[in-house]
Amino acid sequence: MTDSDRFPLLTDEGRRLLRRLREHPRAPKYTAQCGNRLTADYLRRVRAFESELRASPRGWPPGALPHWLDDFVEMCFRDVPFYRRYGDRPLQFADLPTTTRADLSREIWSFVPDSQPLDDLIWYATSGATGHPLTILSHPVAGACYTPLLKLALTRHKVELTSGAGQVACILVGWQKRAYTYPSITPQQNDAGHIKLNLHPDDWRRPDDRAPFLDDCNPEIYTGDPIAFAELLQLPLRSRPRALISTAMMLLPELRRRLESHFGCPVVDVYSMNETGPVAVRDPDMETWTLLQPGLFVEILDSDGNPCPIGRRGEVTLTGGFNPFLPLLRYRTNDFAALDYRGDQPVLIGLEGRRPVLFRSADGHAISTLDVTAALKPFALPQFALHQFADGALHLRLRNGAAADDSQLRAALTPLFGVTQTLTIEHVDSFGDKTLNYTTDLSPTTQPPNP
Amino acid sequence: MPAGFCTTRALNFLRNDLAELASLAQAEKFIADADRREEIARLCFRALGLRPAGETEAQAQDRLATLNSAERQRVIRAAREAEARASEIRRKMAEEAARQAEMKAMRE
Repeated sequence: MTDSDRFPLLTDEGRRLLRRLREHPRAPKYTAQCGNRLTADYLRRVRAFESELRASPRGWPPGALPHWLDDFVEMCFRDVPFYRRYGDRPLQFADLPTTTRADLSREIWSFVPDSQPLDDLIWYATSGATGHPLTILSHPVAGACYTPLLKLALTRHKVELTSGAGQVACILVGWQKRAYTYPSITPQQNDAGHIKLNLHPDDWRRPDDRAPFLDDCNPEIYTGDPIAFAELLQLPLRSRPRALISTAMMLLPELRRRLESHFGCPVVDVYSMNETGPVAVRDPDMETWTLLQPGLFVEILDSDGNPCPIGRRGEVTLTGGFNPFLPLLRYRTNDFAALDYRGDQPVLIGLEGRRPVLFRSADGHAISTLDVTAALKPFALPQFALHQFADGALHLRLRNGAAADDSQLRAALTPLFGVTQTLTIEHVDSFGDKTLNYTTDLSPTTQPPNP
Repeated sequence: MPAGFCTTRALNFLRNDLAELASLAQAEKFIADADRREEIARLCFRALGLRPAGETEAQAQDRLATLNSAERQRVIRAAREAEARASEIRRKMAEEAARQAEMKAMRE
């Protein structure tokens, strides 16, 4: 594959920027070559998606279904092998079976509609943070639709992206032992640069190159996770982005405060996953999450699969999406929140990733992970994991360099769990790429009832 | 009770013939789809040793064979097409994965 395949619409200005990013004397050791694969037709479709984002009303009235849902379900039953196996379509949407990551993991090809051409299929593997490594099939248009969605998320925080030709719009930072890294350019932003980078020192010719390279790129925004952002804080950067977009993992309030004060810009939480792209953005009030995609229906289901009433927490379950290779029908995300309304708009509240874990105090009371998160609020922990063993003993792991004193952490957790509860604190060099914040050996039957 | 009705035949139809039929098409289709509805009625008649009024034995057999084989052919064809499509997608996935691995190897 050549640059003309990777960048079918590359302009001279885009070519110059790409060369500068590739041949920069302080550039990282990029590990991959990756392009946008956007043709003129595909670019038109991305622009149409962006117009639709601006024009379409989002949401649906309480207790009702979005107007597009019926046609979408009909298409799934007619055109998608996995859903066709359900047999005849039930009359009620709520009677449709739900799907899980395990279904996608087992036979992702069965979710591709028969009418979907296989040209320009994009394939990528995701890590198995939830126990099911997943291959995602996608399309250049779907990949490019992330940009308008993130732009929409930023407008909730009064940030309008303006970068264009010759400038770097966005750097996606990671901190991993191994990662795909590459520079790219985006025709939907007038050939502005997009770079995927790994801040791990092993990925650079000289670790000292990191700050000068990032300063020279001077990206309008950074996207990444708390670990990469914590590393970004350590670098002697002179340049300042206009926003940081945090995805993938829980960002504790103290780290957020430090980032915002250090960089002088908002840190915007975006709820996103590989299966759907960006789903929601956390509002400046920090309480509600505004939904981003007009074509994505969100339900909240209880553990029996029944819809929860407005305001009650349950599993976020999604239908729709913009990836033509992966139409989702009642996809259980393993993330938990409640649906509520602000005016006529549905919003998520109390969003927390992964199945809720209930801890147990020394005297047998249930402790929500939300309470643990609140107790850890004063600490700027970029990465941590709290585990409770079957006998109730607690084990807290922190990444080395965390700016937190063990005795202060104990003092924060003791009021929750009780003074008699054993707590060990361990500082580790690495957690691997992704870690669940909360885990327990208490089985569901030995877990205390919901508080 | 009509002449020739046999309880054993009826039970055999309910226990065995219907089980085989259930593996070929969704139960609702035997109500909603006119051909499937006729098929199940004719299968039931045959199992009980009956035939529709006004038809000869040969006509009844011929009509049932047409319905039966058409449905089997449709199911087989659909399964074959689904498998061919799944294979094609898996082949494209393997091609893409190999292309990416090669690109990565060239850079390292």
